[in-house]
Amino acid sequence: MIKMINGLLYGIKYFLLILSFAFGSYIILYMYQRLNKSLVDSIYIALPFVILFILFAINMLANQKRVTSNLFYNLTCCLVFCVILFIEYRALFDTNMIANSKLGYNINFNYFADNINAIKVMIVGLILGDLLFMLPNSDDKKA
Amino acid sequence: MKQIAKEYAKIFSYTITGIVFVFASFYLIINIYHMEEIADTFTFSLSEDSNYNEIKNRISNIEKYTNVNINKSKGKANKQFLSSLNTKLSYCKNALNNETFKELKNNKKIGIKDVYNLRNTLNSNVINGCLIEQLHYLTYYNDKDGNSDGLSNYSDYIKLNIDIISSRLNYIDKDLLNNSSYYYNSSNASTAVMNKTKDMYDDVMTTYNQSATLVEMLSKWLYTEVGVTND
Repeated sequence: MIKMINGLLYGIKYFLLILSFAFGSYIILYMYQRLNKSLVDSIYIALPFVILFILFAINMLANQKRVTSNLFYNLTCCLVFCVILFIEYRALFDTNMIANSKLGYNINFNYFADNINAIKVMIVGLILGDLLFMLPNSDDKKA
Repeated sequence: MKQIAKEYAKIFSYTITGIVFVFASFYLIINIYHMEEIADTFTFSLSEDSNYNEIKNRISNIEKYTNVNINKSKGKANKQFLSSLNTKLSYCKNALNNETFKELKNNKKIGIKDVYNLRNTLNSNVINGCLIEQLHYLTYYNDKDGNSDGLSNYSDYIKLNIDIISSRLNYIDKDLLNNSSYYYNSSNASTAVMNKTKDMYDDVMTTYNQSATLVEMLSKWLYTEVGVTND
C-alpha cells in the first residue's frame, strides 16, 4: 500500500513541478513585461525550479532509492507544488482580490510578488532535502 | 565517526524536509483562510440600509427642486445663471440615480466586487462627472454683480465638501486594494485578512450620501430662489 502511494506521489511530483513552473513563468513573463524589466532578471526565480528539476532527473536516472522511495519527501514535494499552484491559481483567477481587475491585466501581480519569496524558500528547502537524502545515511545498512 | 556523520545526514535531511512540510502546510492553510475571508458576502436588506433610503429620498427631492420654471423666477438671481445651474443639477440627479445604484435593490447579497463596482460608479459618475465637472465652478464663482443672489457665500462649504468626498474616496481605494496583497507575518496581515466587505460598502454609501446631500442643498437653494415650479 505504502509502495503504491509512494509510486503515485513520485509520478505526480514531476507533473506538478512542470505545471507550477509553467504557470509561474506565464505570470512572471507578464509581470516583467509590465514593469519593463529584463527577463534575464527573472532567472533568480526560475533557477531553483531548474536546479530541483535537474536533481529529480539525477534521482531518477541514478535510481537513488534513498530519495525516490522516500514517502515523506515525495509527499512534501507534492504539497509544496500544490501550494505554489494554489498561489498561481489565486493570482490568475481570484477576482475578489481587487488588484486582479484594477491593474487591467487580469493577473494579480501584487499577490504573486508577495509570495515569490515563500515559493523560493520552499523550493530551496526541497533542494537541500534532496541533496542531504542523496548522501549515504544510517538507513543504508538496514537496506 | 563515519557512522555519526551518516546519522547526522539523515537527521538533517528529515529536519529540513519536515520544516518545508510544516511551512507549506501553514502557507496553504492561511491562503485558504485569506481566500475565504475576502470572498465573504453579506445579506443586503433595503429596509435596514439607512444610507440607501436617504440617497433615494434625496434623489426624489432633487427631482422636485429642479422642476422649476426659471423664466418666471421671483428671485434676484440672473436667469441665465439659474438656467445653467438647473441644467447642471439635473445632470447630477441622473448621475446619482445611475444604473449601478438602481440595481442595488435587486442584489440579495453584496460582495467585495459589488462594492468595487459601486465605488467606480461613485468616482466616475458622481465625483468626477457631477461634483468636479458640473459644480466645482461654484467654488470660485465671484458674485460681484449679485447675479447669483448670495450663492457664492456657499462656495467655501461646497469646496470643503468636495475635498472631503475626494479624500474619502482615496482612503476607500487604498483599503480596497489592501485585500490584494498578503504578507502572513507582517502587521499588514491584520488589515488585509479581515473581511471588510460590509465596512467598505458603508464607506462607499456614506460618501455617496454626502455627495447627494451637497446636490440636494444646491437644488433647494435653486427652488427657494425661483419659487415657481413647472406644474
